[in-house]
Amino acid sequence: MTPQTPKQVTFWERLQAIDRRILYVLLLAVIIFPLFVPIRLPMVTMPSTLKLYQAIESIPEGGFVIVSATWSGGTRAENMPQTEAILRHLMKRRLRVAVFSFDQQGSQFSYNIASRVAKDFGYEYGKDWVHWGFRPVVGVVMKSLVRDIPGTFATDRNGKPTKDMPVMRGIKDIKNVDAIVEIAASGIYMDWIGLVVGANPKLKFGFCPTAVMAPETYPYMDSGQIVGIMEGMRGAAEYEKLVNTIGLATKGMGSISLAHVLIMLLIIIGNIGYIVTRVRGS
Amino acid sequence: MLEPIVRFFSAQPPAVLPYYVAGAVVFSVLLIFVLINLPSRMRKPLIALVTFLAGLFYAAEFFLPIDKTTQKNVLTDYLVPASKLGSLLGGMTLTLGILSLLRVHGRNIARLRAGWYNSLALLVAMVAMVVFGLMDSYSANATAKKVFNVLFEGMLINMDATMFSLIAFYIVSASYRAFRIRSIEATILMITAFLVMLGQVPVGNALTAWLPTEGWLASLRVENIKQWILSQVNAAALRAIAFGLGVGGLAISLRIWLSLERGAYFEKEI
Amino acid sequence: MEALWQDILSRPAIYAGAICTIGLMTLIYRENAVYRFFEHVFIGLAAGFSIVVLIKEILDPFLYQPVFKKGEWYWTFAFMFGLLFYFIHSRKYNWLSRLPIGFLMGFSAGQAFQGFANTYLPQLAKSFRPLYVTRTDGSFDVPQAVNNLIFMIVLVTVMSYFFFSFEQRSKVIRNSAQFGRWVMMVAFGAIFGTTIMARMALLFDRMFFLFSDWLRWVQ
Repeated sequence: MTPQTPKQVTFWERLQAIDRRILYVLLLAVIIFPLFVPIRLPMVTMPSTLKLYQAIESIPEGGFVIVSATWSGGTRAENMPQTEAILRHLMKRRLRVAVFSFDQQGSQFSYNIASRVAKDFGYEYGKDWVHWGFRPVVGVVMKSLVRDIPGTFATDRNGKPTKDMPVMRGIKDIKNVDAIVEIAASGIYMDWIGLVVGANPKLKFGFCPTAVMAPETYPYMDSGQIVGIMEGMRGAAEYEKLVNTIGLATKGMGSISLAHVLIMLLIIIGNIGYIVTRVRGS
Repeated sequence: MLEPIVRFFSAQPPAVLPYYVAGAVVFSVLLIFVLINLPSRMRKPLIALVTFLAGLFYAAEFFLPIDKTTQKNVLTDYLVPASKLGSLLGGMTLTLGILSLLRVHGRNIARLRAGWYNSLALLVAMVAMVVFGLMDSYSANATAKKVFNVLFEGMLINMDATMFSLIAFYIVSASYRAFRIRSIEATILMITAFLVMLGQVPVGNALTAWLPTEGWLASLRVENIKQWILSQVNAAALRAIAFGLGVGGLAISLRIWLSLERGAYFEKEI
Repeated sequence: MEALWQDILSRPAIYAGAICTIGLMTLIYRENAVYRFFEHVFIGLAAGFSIVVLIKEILDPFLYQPVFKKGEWYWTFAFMFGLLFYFIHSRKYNWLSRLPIGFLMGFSAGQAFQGFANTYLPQLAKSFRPLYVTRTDGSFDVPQAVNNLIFMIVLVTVMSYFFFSFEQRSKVIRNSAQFGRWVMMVAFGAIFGTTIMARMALLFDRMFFLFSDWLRWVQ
């Protein structure tokens, strides 16, 4: 047997096979670098975010808004700034807020965030806001809250009766609710649209999904079933700008910008190598 | 005629309550005993009946006409109890996997299998979370609240976030290796992805920031191109897909409701 | 050293989070014992938290309170019915768990009719877009008309791609399906673009936690 000479790897082939550890280090570098050298570029507010903001602005003072935080630690980076931004806006506008969650972690999270934001705006628990706790099954709760909100959420997160809380004054069913904002990492918006939104034609339904889910919600914003969308961390950064605060989302835009550039460059490099190799091969 | 039954199934005073609860438990246990001994041929029809009746409640509630004065039909008042029942049952599924965890990791520790210390860590973490989680809610002990904060905010949440964040590394590597313009489809996909990515981040927006914000030239700003892709092409394409999904979902729901669905779970002999 | 201890005692959750984060991140180098240890701790904590939630947010408000505070004893039946779920661990009586599973599936299936009608009928209605659009001053709005036309073409061609009930022999249908396939790639490209954003956000959050919340090197 004649010994096989190893095939010479060309530069163009090498371009397609950069070691994964180099890629990981580059990614970490572009994420970390802007933390130390902040990159602040002007940001354009997308119409989807603006529509959500305007919908909240149009609610009269003292209006009642339900915030559902169906997310867990896995998507904290996107859903936490969204939750904080929307709660800041609602409390700044002196609207009554009821928070709850269809996720077990989301219940604890949203309670912690709402408690913190409530302190900033002088919101009193039970009078200005309430946390209804966790509900594990989506459809049955939605069907029930359309008809009877105090019955569906008879007790708050700590087991206290909600019936006599001032925040619930005049709230009987979905017709008394001005808006619902769902912050989620799942397709739960379909359940809200299917079971709740149509029951009150004046109800405004806003959705704050993770960025990966944003494209699939556009058909529903087009049809008016969703009034506005806060798309992932970018949407949260835009909303933070609208409510005049600097949060995690705004701080992250520099890192995320560079990471996008890195990924595009890597894809281009890989493709240059692929095209040149193919042309030479043929 | 129904009054004694209604009275029986209503709230009872504390004096007699324990007897009612004990009676309900005994009756349920007897019923379970009967079910255990149910002949095989009757099991599937029983499951089908339970599924059908549960589905019938919501289907009928939707289809039955509503009284214009009360804005209700005969089933409307039962939506809240159904929600409570669904929440209780759904909640009880949360811990279904715990028994498996206890069995598998308990065995690992008892037999000192390789990595038994990891199993021990799992069980210790579980017990600690249960103890301090409940103390956080039901006692005023400040230390317990602090420990719960460390376990939940400090450890659980950060580990959950870290697990998901690892995907970032793999998506970079996968995009670089697999994203090749081998066909028209791949080329379209890449061009759109690039435009959307540029439209998403301030660096991308800065590329066309010199273009005017009004007039037809504004349409060429990268953020507007991204918005156009999402709201015109993407929305229409995904709506078309959603129509198919919706009809398919409805068909599946109907098949499940009427126990016509086929597949490993539904056809298995029981 | 004492200053470090002081800092740990004043921010134990942050320190615990940082150690856990770094422990799990070691996976990107390779599968290792440190990662496996933290992975087990994570599963243990998550399982323990489920038990806490079950007791605090389910059994307390939906069983204990109604039964023992309000005297609504009949909820005991619901609890006993829910216990049937746990027969899933029994080889012999596994089928009993199918009763509550079937019940919950039935609940969801029954809601599907309303869900379908309320979700898709407005979508259908909004899909018929006018091709002659006028501005407020009465003039013909060309860009909007073109957009509406594109929207309709995309919708129809993508739907034609999913005509699987018959063989696509007609050239018109075949070309339409091919075009539908291309525009679907536009939608998938958009989803890919936003996915990158989502994943990078998660990694940024971790780095921000380490460098800002823990080390306090940046604000």
